[in-house]
Amino acid sequence: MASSPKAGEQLTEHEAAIYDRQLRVWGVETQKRLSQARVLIAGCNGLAAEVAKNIVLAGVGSVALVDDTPCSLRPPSNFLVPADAPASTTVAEASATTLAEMNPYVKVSVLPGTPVAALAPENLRQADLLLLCGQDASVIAQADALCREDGVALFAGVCRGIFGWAFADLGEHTYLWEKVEEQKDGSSSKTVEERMLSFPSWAAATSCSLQGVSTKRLSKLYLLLRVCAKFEQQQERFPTAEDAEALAALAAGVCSEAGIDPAVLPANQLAAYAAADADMPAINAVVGGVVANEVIKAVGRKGEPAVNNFFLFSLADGGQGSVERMG
Amino acid sequence: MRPGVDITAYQGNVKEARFGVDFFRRFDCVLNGLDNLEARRHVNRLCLAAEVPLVESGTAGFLGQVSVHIKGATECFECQPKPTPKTFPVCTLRNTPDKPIHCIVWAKEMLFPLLFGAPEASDLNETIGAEGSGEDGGEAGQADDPSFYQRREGEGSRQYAERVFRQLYSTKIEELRRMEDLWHSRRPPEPLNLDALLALEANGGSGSAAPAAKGSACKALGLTDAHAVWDVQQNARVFLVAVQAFLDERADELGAAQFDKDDQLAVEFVTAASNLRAACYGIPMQSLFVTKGMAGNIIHAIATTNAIVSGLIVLEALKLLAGAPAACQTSFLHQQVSGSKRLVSRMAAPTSNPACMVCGTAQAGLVVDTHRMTLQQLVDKVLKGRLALLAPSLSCGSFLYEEGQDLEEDEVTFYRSLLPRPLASLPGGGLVNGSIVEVSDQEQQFKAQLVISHREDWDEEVHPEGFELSGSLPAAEAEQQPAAPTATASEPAALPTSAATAAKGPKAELQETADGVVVLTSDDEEAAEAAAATGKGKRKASELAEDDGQDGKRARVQEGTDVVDLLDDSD
Repeated sequence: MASSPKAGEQLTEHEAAIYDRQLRVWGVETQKRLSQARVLIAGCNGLAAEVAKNIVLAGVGSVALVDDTPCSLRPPSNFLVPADAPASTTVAEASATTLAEMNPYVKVSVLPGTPVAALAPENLRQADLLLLCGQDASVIAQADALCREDGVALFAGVCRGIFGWAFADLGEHTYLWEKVEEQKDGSSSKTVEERMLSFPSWAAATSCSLQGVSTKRLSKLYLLLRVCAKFEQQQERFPTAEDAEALAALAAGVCSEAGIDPAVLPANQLAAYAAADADMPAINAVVGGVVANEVIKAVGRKGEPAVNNFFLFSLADGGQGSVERMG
Repeated sequence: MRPGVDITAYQGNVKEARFGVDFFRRFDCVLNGLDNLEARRHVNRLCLAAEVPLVESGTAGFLGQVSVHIKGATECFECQPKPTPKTFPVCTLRNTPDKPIHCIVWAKEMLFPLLFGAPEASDLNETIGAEGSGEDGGEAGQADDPSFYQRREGEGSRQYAERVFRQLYSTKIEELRRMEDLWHSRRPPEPLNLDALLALEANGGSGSAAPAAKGSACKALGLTDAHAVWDVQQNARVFLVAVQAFLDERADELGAAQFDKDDQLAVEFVTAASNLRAACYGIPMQSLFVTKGMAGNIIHAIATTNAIVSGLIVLEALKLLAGAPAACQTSFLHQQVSGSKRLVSRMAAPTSNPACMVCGTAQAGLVVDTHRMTLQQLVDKVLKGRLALLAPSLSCGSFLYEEGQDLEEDEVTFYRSLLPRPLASLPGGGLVNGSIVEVSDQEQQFKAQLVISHREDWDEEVHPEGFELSGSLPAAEAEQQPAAPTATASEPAALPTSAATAAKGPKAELQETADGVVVLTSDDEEAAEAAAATGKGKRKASELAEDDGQDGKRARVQEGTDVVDLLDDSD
């Protein structure tokens, strides 16, 4: 993780001016920690664009992008790639150019290769935090194991059709918890204590028992992604509309493994999730905004993370954004 | 991003006449990303008049809210009372401050205009009244002669700054100390001694010659950390240098300067001036950063939350454009999840409040001293200040008052001549106890009735504004937050609404932060939402709770999927 900010170091006048509003939310210490954090983003789709834009505007230290998809095949929801970007450049390169213009204080770079190249030891070692966007469960599982070993914070997110979710694994996360109480005389007293939050692994989060869990309140999207994770782990790819039968079979297995009634899992939603071949920008904005807030809290080490360990947003659930702690 | 899309950008104030009802009628829906309550209320009225659905939004820190307002189907933006800017009794500001904000408001709204702006905009040169009596005080209550704060002939800027310092923080404080009635239950203020402070400075080795400020007193004095709280001596130096800088470097603005939170020198002046006053009264001093936030009513908007809320706005807009307005909901973004596990929660858009003055036909009651309140005050404080009208017209019997662009010159002159008259002395028998006044605003297509009640003996501590509005008004219920405009931030207009209504519920609690942003804290936000609904007396809590039950959920799944299907087809 990012090292402690150097004592006595001040933000420059210009930094103080452009970060004025957010400094009022998270304070100077968080801003300094943020400015030293190195974030590696694997996969440059619409969700990645949202998170990257948010953390670059917030003033993260550096962002490295990995995705060698040519711009001719750019995901339409990645608004960082201009419509007229040369076909010969990659989506990572085009996104990096736009990001660098958004905030000159952030170092933006591109690493060669496909998103999976982010997992190479020489790349992971250079990062405090890894964000996987639009990667299947086999990649997430592999990345999570490596990140837990190296003490790198991991976020992963997938947006498909009317569904979007994010997973966070900060390992054993320590943070400052602050409570400010207004006194009658207008002054305020501040209580600060160090707290610790333990995050389950991806493997645990996608294989845990759900016995005793209230299925009424349970986000159905969690069940969908868990069934699909099993498929992706086996096939090392996302399911498509053609995989409906295989998924239905896996669904029965997942329900019995989790110890819940298979009727809880909505079959039509599973089919819709598998068949979705595009994302919705509005859902990218919601999920990407939540992930960025959590990234800032993770590297700023101030304030309790809101997502431990799944954020699940589904229009099929009436457009609620739920947090589940699994594993 | 999408080269084929037709986008027109208009630069201007949404309250300009060119963005009237006809302009709004050209659209299928309106998405608000406004930063102040007045503009939000104005757009709400135009959307009602034009019958165009409105998606309203607001953010503050990690919190956000999106609501949808459709005429005849849901509540309008003003069906629930909105918190209005907090006001302070003038005598507290002038004589007995006890919080940092009292000193900051004094420095910004009273002292700043007195020294650099239009002195008539300041209340500081009025007589100091003995507390609560409303009458002029004794010997200490001599009116401050505004000409005292004029620069004298041949007076150097440093001399002027020192003279003003001594007047504000020595002479005036001494005068106040002599008003013993004020200090029975309070600690009397202690005057500052400028000579002693300057002597300290000289001993400190920096010399008493003021450095050239060049737009920033702090920079000139080497006080570069905006988060540090200066000591009294540092505040005194900033005060003197800032006053000098205004006189020497910004002479052209004198007499007309207005406080602006992005004006570095103005913020430095207000910080030093309010801290020096705080020092007299034993009130904690504040950093420049904190003072700027409080003086400028800065709302804490961050890119991440704005992004989430923009996504939620688009989802509601898609439902409207896809022809499924019944599926629209109110969404809340919370900072933390609680028992309900929702970070983004939803509730059905509430139906309209039949007693709403804006979208309904309700009457409002105005209690006022009709012999003291002038027509000018009625127009400025009540109609424009509280009812957010732009160009109000009033009629009552044979009395008529109008504002607007279509008036003849002689009409304008005549109406202006009425403004200084007390309500009871207006033509046609006056506006007196029991008068029913028709109030309208053509630009907003706003119409309402105001029923006047006469009352004397106002206690300034309780009603600093000198009037009381009743009825289901688009106005404040309680003193809550200063919701003033900010240049870039998105003010949480909607947030205080939910907070204010939810506060009636059993499990929700209102918290006012140091900067006045109202946040909703609740153990269970769904209970709070239910409470919000019952607070309005239109939906039963049980009814709302069922939304989370099977039937409600199924209905929504259906709606949600239908909308998206439609979108997929059309794309």
